[in-house]
Amino acid sequence: MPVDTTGSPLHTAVARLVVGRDGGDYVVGRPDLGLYVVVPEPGAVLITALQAGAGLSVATARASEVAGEEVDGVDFITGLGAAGLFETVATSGNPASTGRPVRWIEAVNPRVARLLFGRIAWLGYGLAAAVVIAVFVLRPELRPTFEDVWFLPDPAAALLFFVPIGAFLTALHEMWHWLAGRALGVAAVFRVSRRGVFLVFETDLTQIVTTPRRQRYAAYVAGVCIDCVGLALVLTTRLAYRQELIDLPPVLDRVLGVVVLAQVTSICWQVTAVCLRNDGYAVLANALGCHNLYRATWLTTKDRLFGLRDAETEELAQISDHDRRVARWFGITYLASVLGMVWLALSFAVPSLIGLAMWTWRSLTSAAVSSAPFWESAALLALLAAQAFGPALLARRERLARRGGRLL
Amino acid sequence: MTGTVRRWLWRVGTATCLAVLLGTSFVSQWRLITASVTGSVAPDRVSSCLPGTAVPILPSPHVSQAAIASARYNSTPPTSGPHFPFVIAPGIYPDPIPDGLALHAMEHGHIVVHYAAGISTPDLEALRRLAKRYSRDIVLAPYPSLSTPIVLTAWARIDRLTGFDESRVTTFVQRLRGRYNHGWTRPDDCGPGAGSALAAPPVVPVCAGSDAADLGRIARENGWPVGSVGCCPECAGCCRG
Repeated sequence: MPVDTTGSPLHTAVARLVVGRDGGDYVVGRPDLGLYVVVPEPGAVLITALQAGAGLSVATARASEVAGEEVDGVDFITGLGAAGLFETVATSGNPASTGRPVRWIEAVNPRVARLLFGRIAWLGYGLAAAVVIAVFVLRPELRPTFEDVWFLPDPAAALLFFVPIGAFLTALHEMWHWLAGRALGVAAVFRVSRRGVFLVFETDLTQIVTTPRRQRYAAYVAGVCIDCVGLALVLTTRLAYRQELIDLPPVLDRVLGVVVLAQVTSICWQVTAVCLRNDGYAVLANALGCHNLYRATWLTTKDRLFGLRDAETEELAQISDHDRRVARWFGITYLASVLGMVWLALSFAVPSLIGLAMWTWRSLTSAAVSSAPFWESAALLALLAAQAFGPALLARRERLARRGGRLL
Repeated sequence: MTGTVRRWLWRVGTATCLAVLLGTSFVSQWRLITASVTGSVAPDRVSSCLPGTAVPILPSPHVSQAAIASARYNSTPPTSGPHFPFVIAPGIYPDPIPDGLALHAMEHGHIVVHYAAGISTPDLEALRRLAKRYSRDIVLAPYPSLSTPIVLTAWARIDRLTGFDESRVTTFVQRLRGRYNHGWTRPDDCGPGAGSALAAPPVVPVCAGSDAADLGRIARENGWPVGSVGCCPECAGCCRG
């Protein structure tokens, strides 16, 4: 949409934008449209200057100072318009009027979402965590083991049955991040993505950078909070079953066992996988007052061990002094993080995966093609391959889309 | 200190930390990982002080569902031998589970409680209560072809019950759970000689001079026909047949 780059129309259009720092770059977006673009620092300076009431020429001059060379403010604004950031919308509270699909989460009123993150709610989360710890300490038999994955005699059925359970639990975790963001009044985006080689659901809380740091913790720990609540409910149910207070079908008890395993794994992951920018990383980076600790730490560590290429040296130099100071020791947490993930994998994932791999291999090589084990193994192999290679394919698709300008 | 020297110091320090810590993690799980691939191997144990009867350990590789059809075991239900590469979670199973799965549960140190089709309802309820009490240790499942109502199995150990006996089941579970986990996990403390390995053909030592009652007890504990055990002058023990 063409934009009038003079006077009041421009200021009105720019006022709808939010600007947030995202690593070494800046994100400029329209929460009401769910549309964000990454811009260099001079672009962010230009927009914030306009939002502060400066004229385009003054804003361009400030951006030029930051860039160290002349920038074309009109061209930049035109580019934002071409990206759709100046689309007219009736109000940000009525996204349906844009004709875009309504994200159901946007319909959740912040006041409603705040009920889930009020004092009583936090008391509930704390109580749930206490219940979980107490049960695990006092009733060790309720702690999860990797065997819980095999809750049905047929391994293929067990894994296939677990896929939707796992997806639901992950989605619930991310949804709570989402709601916490909504409670803060920021829009959030839910998406399927990858983290390392794992397929994950993610909530984009980019806009949270526009809120005070002390308010951000709720959004960062919200996922673990709902994990604890679910875990406490499931553990209480299993305990009541063992105490003969309630009766359950035995298979349901074992299904709850695999839920415990999934939730404990999820919580441990959020605590340990700091080097993969998990929830724990977000909490630490926020507490340490950093903006781009992730890249600063990787680059600092790489510099110590192998040296940096010119582009990386430049990137590290552009990161704030504070982040670089923290990064000098934060590498230790990355080391601990790697160890935590190895422990997690060896304790829960590797034994199950080896058993599964051996069964699949032996069934595919020795069972008759007409037999059920052969086809079950083939189906499982396809599932595992999708889990292993799916994220890589997604990443490639995202990269191609980004290069093609279809993903910003 | 030059940049190159500093970099090498960082490399050596980081590599050392990773090697020590990751190595420790892997070593602690090494037996589980290798056994998950190959199955387990361990010497026989008689351990006559323990509940139930010792059963000689068969070669116990991980095999496919197709291959297990041709497996032959030395007891019913089996207590060792070829089994599936995946295990089953402890718990109550209303339908029979394959021998290959039950064996893997035993290989992980669990107790598998089998019951015959005609078991009485009170006995079954009592077994279910125990399975809930020892929920991390017991796999409870029917085994229609049993000739006795209840059979308790652990790795290389079996006990046959004509009816529910809480004390006997509880003792079996408490003494034998976790005794084996891809290998023996602890000594049996049955006194001198009692933990010696079974040979093939099975030889039960320390019975020289035993009377007929002792020989009968040994036969029963090993599941041999009474009268098939006698003193063995050559080995100063007693042997079968």
